Amino acid sequence: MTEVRMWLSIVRLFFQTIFNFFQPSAWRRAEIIHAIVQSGIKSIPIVCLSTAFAGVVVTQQIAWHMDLSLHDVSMIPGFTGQFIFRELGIAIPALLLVSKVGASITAEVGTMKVTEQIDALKLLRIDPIEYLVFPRFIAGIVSGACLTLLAVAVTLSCSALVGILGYNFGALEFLNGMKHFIGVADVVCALVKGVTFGSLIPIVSCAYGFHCKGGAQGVGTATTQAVVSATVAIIILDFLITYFFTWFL
Amino acid sequence: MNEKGMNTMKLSNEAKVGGLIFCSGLLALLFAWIVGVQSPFQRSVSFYVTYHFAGGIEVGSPVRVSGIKVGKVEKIEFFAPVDLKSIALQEPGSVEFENGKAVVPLKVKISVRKDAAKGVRADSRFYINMAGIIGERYIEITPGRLKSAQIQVGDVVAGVDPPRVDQLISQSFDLAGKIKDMIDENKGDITKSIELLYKLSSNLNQTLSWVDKSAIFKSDLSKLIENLIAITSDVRKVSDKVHSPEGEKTLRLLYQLLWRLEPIDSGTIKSFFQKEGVKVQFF
Repeated sequence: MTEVRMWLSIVRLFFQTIFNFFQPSAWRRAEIIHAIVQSGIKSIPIVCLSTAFAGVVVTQQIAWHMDLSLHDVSMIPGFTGQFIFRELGIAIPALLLVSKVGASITAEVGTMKVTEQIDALKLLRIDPIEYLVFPRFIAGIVSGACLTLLAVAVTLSCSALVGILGYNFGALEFLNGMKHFIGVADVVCALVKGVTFGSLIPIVSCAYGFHCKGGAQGVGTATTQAVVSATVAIIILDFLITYFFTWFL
Repeated sequence: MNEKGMNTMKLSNEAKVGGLIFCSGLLALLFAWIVGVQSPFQRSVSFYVTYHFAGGIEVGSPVRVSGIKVGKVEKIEFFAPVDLKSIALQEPGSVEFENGKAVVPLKVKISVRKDAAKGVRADSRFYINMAGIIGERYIEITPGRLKSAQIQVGDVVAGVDPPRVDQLISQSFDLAGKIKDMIDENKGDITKSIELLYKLSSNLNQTLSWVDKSAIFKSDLSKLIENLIAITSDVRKVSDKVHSPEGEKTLRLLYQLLWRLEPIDSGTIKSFFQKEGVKVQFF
């Protein structure tokens, strides 16, 4: 029951944040850019490193299975390309953002809550959603889209490298093999997922931060719950978006 | 390096975010190029191809002219009315009539790059082919003759329907059913035939083993074959000689001789020899 209430408050927070789109005072450039640096730029190394290794592992696994069952590895570019565009290049950065950025946001907002800084903001007639959530929400959207494109590029490059070095593909041959399988819908699907996950993370994290109770222990508990909930939400949304793009587009 | 120098070397947050967005834009363009999004500045020619059965073509399927990818399928319309006169090279079965109006089961809008469209003429053929082992369908356009009219924007041409594999399978099932019925009806005869064939092969087997074991065939078979070869060679020489002018003349003379000898009987021969003074009892 508590979880249901929590999710209802997350949905309410989402719509309250969306409402701020039409408030010119919410568009504070310096705050938004700072949030993008925190969530996007500073996540680039970890996202690139993780997706690079994921690309290598997935390509090797697909190649091994294809060789074992079909005795043919000519379809590696197509299969890996589609898998990277649809899942791997999107889910990994999203989950990394949850654990890095989401946890940080919940801890930050939760600490402000337990130290009554949010109440102080309210006393100063500053809307905490406009002041704390909206910049992070916009930063999440921008970072989600940019990191998704970057992660897909890195993963595809590493996958191509494995194909070229390990399975005697030419670079153009690999690219052409991939082109047969990947369509506009795959790229749009990747971007939609990136933007959705990027916008979800700050909302869930801030909602848990706002509901934080007690002292340091409460902040820790809220952070853990935020990461778990955001991870589960991302996996469910991933399924729904993939289902939509697979069957309706 | 002092702290001031370090600060001047550091990028501002705006520059970092600008760089991230710029790089992401470049990557988006790269991906758009990978997935084959055509440039909006590239000029193309769009026209329609009608089919009765399109065999798996879908929106976005590639279009090739002389084997080179130069366009894609833009749109597919079902049971679209068309002006019959506008259909160039109408293929049989590609047009049906509904209340006196011509209707095509499928009207496929395709766009072709303008430079490649030069080769697409009124007498070009529009085949639906399958590429590679993944079975990707595409429209293959064969270039028409130069004296034919070049395809124009909005023209309607008739495509060549691909072979119907489903029909082939259905007909194969039908054929298999008929064969089964025939076998069921003539089961006794077929069984007898098989038994006879079995006996025949068994006898043949015995004969062959006898031939194999026989000393005559072992020793003389090669000689027999050599003689046969010699005989056929001689016969050939004789027949060659017979077919020569001299041989034909000889045959003619021989025929005349036989014709003359035919009425001769024992009495005639006896009287001939008696006239010559020879008294011999011949017959």
